[in-house]
Amino acid sequence: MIRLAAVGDLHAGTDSRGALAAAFSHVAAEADVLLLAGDLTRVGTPAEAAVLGDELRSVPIPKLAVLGNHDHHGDEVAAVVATLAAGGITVLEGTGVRLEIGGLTLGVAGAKGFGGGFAPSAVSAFGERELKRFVEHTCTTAARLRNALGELTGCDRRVALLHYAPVRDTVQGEPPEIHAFLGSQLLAEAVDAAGADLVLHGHAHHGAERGSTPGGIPVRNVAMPLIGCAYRVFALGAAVPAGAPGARA
Amino acid sequence: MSVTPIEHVLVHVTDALATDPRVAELGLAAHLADEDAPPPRTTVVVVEGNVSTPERKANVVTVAAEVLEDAGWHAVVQDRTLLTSPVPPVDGAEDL
Repeated sequence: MIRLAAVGDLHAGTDSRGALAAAFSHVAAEADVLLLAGDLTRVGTPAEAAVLGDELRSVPIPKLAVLGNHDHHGDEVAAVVATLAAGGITVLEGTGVRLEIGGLTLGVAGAKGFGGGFAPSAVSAFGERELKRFVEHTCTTAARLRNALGELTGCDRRVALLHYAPVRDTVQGEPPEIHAFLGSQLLAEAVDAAGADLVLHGHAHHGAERGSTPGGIPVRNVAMPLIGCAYRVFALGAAVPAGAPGARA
Repeated sequence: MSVTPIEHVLVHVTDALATDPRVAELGLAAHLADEDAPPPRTTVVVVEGNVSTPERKANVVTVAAEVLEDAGWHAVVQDRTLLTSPVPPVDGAEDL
């Protein structure tokens, strides 16, 4: 059994010191790995990243993260990533990590993702250069996610970690006018193409917790303002062999 | 000089609450209170949503009022934001 603790949108600021650590003090007893689904910081400064690293420093399980839009706001991404790494938090962007847990191999592939919306209202790469760049960024991050998942061959379980939502299901509750800025169906297409057992994301604070990709892969929105607590825990058992009762088609 | 319509200013208030580092909360909404009240009336702007620290909550009214005043609106700002902070989960694991 692999146990994942996951949360997004912690939004640590320099005024968050002392506000987060207590909520994570028992996470190691409940989970084997802590996944952070972006928006780790308030405005994307190394100082804020240092606060988060310090707050989670005593959490003795692997800590994997993707960045969110807030973490990009300060245009100091490299410094933020380095500061988080110094605090024991590994940031994934088009990359994956393998972890040996209880005799099983967990693969986690991460990418920030981006917007563009969901069918039938998805944005197309047509017209102004700025709009084409917007969609191209989504295409790029979706391709990175697909590649990262594809490289995690041989894992017993694979998880896709995003900040932006891959499906409309988990942004329901947000104003429809902003759905295109909350995620993109291209991310779900990437996950369905490469395969995964679970997709985790944040960003949609007023969305819904549960959904699934068109291919049937469970999607969970773990934005902290939505889940109302420090993290959710998910348990992944050993994969059911193909062809056996209960196996994914 | 004409005063900027309040509907435009409220957009800038929301933007400031998201980008001003004193608050920097992306999910806040500013709207008029008592929109159906008969004149004369005081312009009251209500800010709602979640904030994560007491410091940020303490700055909501200040940041909103600054934007309103810059646009020529001497409005009363009501802070109806909710202070939220992470707590350990009480639910067990979801089996997948």
